[in-house]
Amino acid sequence: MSSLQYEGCNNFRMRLVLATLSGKSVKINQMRPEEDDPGLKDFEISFIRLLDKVTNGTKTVINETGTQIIYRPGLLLGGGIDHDCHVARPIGYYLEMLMCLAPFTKEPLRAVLRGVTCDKDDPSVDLLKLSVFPVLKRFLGTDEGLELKISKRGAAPDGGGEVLFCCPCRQKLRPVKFLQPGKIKRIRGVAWSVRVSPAFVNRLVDSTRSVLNKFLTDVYIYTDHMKGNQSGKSPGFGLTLVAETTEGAFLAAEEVSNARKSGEGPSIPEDIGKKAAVSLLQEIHRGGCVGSMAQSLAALMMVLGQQDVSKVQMGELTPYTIQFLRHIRDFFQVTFSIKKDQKPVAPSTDDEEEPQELRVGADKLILTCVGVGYSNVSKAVR
Amino acid sequence: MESDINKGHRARHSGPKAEKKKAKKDHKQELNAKQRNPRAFAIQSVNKAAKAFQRTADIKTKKQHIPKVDRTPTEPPPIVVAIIGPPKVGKSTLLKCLIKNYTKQKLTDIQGPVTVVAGKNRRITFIECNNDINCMIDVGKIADLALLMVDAKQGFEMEVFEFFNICQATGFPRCMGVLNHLDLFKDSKGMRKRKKQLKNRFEVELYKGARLFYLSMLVNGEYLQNEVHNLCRFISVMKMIPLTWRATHPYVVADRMEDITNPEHIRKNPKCDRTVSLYGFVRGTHMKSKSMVHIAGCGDYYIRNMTFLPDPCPTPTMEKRRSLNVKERVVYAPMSGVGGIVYDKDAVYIDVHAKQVAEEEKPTGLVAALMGSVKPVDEKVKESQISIFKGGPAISGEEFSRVRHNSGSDEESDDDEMEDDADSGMEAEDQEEGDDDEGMEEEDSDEESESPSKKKRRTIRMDEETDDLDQLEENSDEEEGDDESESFQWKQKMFEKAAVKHTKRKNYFSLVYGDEEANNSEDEHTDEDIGGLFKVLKKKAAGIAEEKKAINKKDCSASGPTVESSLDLEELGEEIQDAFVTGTWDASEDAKTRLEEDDELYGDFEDLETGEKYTADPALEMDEDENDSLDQTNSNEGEENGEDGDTEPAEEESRPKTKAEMTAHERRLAKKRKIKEVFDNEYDMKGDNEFYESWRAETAEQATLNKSEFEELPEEQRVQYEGFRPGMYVRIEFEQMPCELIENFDPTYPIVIGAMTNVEEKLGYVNVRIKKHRWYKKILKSRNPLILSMGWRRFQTIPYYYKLEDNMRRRMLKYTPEHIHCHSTFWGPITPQGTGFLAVESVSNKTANFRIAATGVVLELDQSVEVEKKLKLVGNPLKVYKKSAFIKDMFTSNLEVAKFQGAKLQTVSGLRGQVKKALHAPPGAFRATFEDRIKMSDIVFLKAWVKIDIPKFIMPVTSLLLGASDKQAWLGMRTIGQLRHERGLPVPQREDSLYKPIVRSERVRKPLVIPKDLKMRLPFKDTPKDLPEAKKPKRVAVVMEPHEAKVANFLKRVKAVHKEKAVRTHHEMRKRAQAHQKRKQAEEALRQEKLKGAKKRLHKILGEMKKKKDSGSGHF
Repeated sequence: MSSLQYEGCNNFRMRLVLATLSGKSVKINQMRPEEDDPGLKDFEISFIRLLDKVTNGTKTVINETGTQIIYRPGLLLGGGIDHDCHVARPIGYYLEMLMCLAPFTKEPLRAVLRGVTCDKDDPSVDLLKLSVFPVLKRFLGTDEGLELKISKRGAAPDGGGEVLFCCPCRQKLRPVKFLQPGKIKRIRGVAWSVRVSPAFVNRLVDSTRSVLNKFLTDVYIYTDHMKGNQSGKSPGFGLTLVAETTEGAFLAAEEVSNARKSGEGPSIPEDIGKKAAVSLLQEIHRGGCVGSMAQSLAALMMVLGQQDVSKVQMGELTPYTIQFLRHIRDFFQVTFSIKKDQKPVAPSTDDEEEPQELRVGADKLILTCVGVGYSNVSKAVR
Repeated sequence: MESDINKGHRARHSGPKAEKKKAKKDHKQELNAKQRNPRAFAIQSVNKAAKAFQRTADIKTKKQHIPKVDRTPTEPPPIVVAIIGPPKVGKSTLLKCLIKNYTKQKLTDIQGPVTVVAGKNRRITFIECNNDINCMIDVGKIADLALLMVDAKQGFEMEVFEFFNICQATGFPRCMGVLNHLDLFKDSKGMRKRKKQLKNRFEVELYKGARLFYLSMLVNGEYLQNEVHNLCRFISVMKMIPLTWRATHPYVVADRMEDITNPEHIRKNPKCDRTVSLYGFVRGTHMKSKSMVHIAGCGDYYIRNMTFLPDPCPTPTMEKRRSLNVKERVVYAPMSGVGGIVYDKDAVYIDVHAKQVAEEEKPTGLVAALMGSVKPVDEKVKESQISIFKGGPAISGEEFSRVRHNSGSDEESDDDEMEDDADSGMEAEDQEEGDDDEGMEEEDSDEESESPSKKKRRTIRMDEETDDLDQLEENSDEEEGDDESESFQWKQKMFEKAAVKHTKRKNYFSLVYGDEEANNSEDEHTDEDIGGLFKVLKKKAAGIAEEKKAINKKDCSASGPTVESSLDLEELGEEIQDAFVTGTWDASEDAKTRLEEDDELYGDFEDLETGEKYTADPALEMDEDENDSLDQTNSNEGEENGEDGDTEPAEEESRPKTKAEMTAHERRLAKKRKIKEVFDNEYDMKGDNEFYESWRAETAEQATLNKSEFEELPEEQRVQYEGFRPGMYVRIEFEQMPCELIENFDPTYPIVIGAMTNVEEKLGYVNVRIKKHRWYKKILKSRNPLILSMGWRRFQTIPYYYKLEDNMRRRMLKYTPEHIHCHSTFWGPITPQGTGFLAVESVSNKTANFRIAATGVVLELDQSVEVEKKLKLVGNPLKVYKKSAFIKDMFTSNLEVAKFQGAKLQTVSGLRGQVKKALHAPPGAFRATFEDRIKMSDIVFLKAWVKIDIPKFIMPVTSLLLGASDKQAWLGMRTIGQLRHERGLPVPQREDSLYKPIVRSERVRKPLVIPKDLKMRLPFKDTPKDLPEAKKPKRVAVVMEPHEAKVANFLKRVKAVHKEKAVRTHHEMRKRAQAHQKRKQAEEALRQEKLKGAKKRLHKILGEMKKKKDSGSGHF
């Protein structure tokens, strides 16, 4: 069996996930060797435990200081899983990677994840549901059995949230050609709050509408104020927005309140609402057929398709996606062709000689690749 | 006469003939009942109609196949034609004849694959397969067409049948039979009969109508030319079937092998590991370099280096000619030393024509330099290189030309420049790869030390290496930017603005992939002296520190600060104005333009409800009206003129013939009909196979996209994106190959390099469905090693057979069942589900029997497996209480008991129980409870299932590495039976497993004893009736006095005499009585007679008297 070597804890998750999918073992050295608390952090251990639950026959060797890890993947198992995610990182941190693995399991995945449902830095479960699910659906063919249910919300730092993630498994994925993002026809969103005044969600909605209504009138934001045992252990509130286009592309953005003991002071709902709206506009500016959060997943699914050409238009690549593409090359020997897409032009009026480019934000890229002909070896045929 | 000829026919206007004609003209076609009254013939039975409908739908659906994306490349690799058959059947002769037919040359000693150009777009690789089963398996996996040679005299031999079954398991190639040795038949009748017989058998084995060729005779050691030619024509037009395994797994049939190990190493240690390069056409699908491959018969290896070479056997590019000329009939067979042999250090070449000395080779080293291929001058100039500094990078002629081109385009608009730059990163890459191809060891594309010309080009796009913009680039780059201190904010703002501008010129490909390569090349050049460019080191030191930080950064997918974040809301809003539905739409989707297009297509329409007319164009409407009037005039004219249409305007010609009658209204109707048709097509009238058709269209679209997407790119770049596509001639370099591969190389054994996808490198438990072959003589035993051929691999493993029971338990079977499938699990390579495999017990033994033991298909793969076998633990009661009992002999220790606590027990008599707790005294004894009291004589069972550990044993069959003498004698693990047989050891038998005669003693019943108390209390009828029977009167023996005895004796005698006398008198009396009776009877008879006579006389008298009376009265 072949193995790959890396250094550092950055891109830790993608390395393990790609190793699991490709069957290559991976060795990572130099995990935070110079920090006061060297080696693997608790949330990384929790992630390894999650992988261990999803797979069968995985072997992980961590050295004494925790600065080195050798990961020898097994086969993906799926089925019913129950995992307590470490609260240092929200569920999105784990779920993001679980989504990459879920289509290739032996049995349809049905994972119950507990922890922080929303935090800064990592995508919240709402965001994943709104922006990554449509992308996953395109590769799976249908969204039958694809589900993300937020049964409890838990804000940072103590969490207490719970989500149920269900995903069907496939033998093979289909190639995707998704080049026309279309125009944004509606904006939807979820404003949520736990253990704060229920009025907060309305304030969030009002402030974000004040910004977004200038662009589009079809804006509807659901409010979700959870109470009692559904509200987790810490107070918090936030807003996730998604813009849907005529062609079924979803661009999403979100903003969350500061965590209780983060030392950043309390957040004001109006600010959060405005910030969320602006970040949605920025996401729209970046544009593309898949949102920035779903870029890496889309790229992975393109590679893991049949030996056919897949083409997807994306906005500017995020650093994470760039790293992901590099790792894909390491693990699957697939290089993407990345080209700048031509901007759409306005219909020519007779008096102008040169057609004018439409103002649809930043450059769009077309990512093209040939799939590796990946097939799900875990799934049984009878 | 002439006037007669000119005179036309004058039709009759009157008379019977004319009337007949008239009647005929008036006659309307007779309608049948169905036409007359269609309603009566409408659906009468719904069920029947449904059935009929279903039937037609079934027939239609049966014809459909699942559409698959056609992935055949535009220039396919040569098809592999394998010649298979038992020894001495004429395979080599046929191969020679075929090659001669294609190339017009005679090759004498053919070894290894031979590639020939067969036609405009067909090349063929011929392989002769020997009788080794390893070879047959490998050939079965790679052959596109199998020519099965059959000796007509012998009939089908086992090899052919074996090959069929190999193919069945691994994917059936096209097969054609070739019947040979027909000249051995003396009479034509026998021959014909034999032909027919063999053909029938062949069709049974393959399919109805399978092709069988006949080679009638041998002339000068060759088959008849027309027969071979005929066969060739069939080969040339044969269409190949895409097979799943081959369509998903690239493979190379090596037609050339070079040992490129350093000769010094070999001299030091002849058994050292070798570096080997193999050559061949890529087949199947795209092959990735740096992937793991399996060399059949050798093992798994990593490709060290893979490059593509010019095609040694190119298909001629010609326009309209049908046949090839002599030059184009290329033959390529480096393994067989034939014709004008050219022995090189690296290769053996067949010299076809003096001019064609192996243009295709890519040798290394000095020899290659000397032998340098002939190229035109301009190409040479392009490839030539000049280096300005010693050790510095070389500038190639190609670069010069590009620079020239660039400087010319500088004057052009910015847009052009942008596009140029977008590609330039890739171009630089090409160059690197190209250089690698040439075998240049040093990396010359180091961007720090670039030649002035190149540097100039780079500065235009402010590349990251340009020193003064270095910082800026880093900021715009993705990995940094957040750890800048506050004081640099103004600077940052500036940088961001610059970055905004910069993004427009980014080369995204190099942004993602390019940086790393630059870094790598940097590392390689650390020790080199690069003309005093000290800045490099400085930058590198900074880079290393930063890199160190970067590798341990927080792992999160959220994007950091981006270009957008620098914009304020208004700017942002302005830039994304058109991203919303409310913004401007692009030309292809703009509603207004599309409406216009529609109008042009459909024109005007009329609202039927309101009667309002909508016209696309008033002018058009006017035209129409004019047309109407024109039509009317036309029709008038038409009536006058008869039916000639010469005078019609051209635009009306397209209309049907009855246009003369067509009014404006009708035309409008026609138009509506047309629109409706379009609508129907789009919505509801697509037919029942709409789904299928759209699916097919989708796959066809995907196929064209696959072909066209990277078509324009240069080969190097294309390879980077796609991998090496099938049809390319490649050179694959391997390291650390066993020396036996080289030393024991035999060209008659094909070298198949089969690539695998990522996951297939791993090992795991493979669950398969397996069936013992009907023709195989033995049944297979669990745990006996078996050689499997699965995927590309041939390996020996230890399978366990099992049966999937109804409760999904996998119950182990000791032996495979005779005629049905069973399941099996073994440790082996992960192979995709649905892959077929075959099994043989040994590849070495030479038997006349059928060698394929089993075939099957992969079902599931896993890293753990649960095959269970039944376990029955037996114990005996130690002591029995009421319902609990102590049981011994079942376990040996208390620990074991603890493990089985709560387990179900059962006695022979069917009493159920449970294990409770271990006892102290005898180890392994325990307390158990039962539903009733058990007997001491009972036996207690514990029925359990025990998981079996399947040994992780796998051993590749390394048939390629064996020496010539034991090539066919690969011996892997042997079965215990074989080992015992070889060592003469008896099979150990356990005493208690032997069958013994069952001796059962007669059971003696004890009498039933009822206690006295009970008996007393019982009602009388239930008491046992055991009273003494009633006594008979006993007779007393009489002892008589002598006198009495005398008397008695006398009396006894007297009695006897009396008795005698009585009998006698009785007899006498009987006699007398009888005599008396006789006499009496006689007397009676006499009396009767007398009586009769008297009566007679009396009646006579009476009669006479009566007569007298009558007559006397009569007288009176």
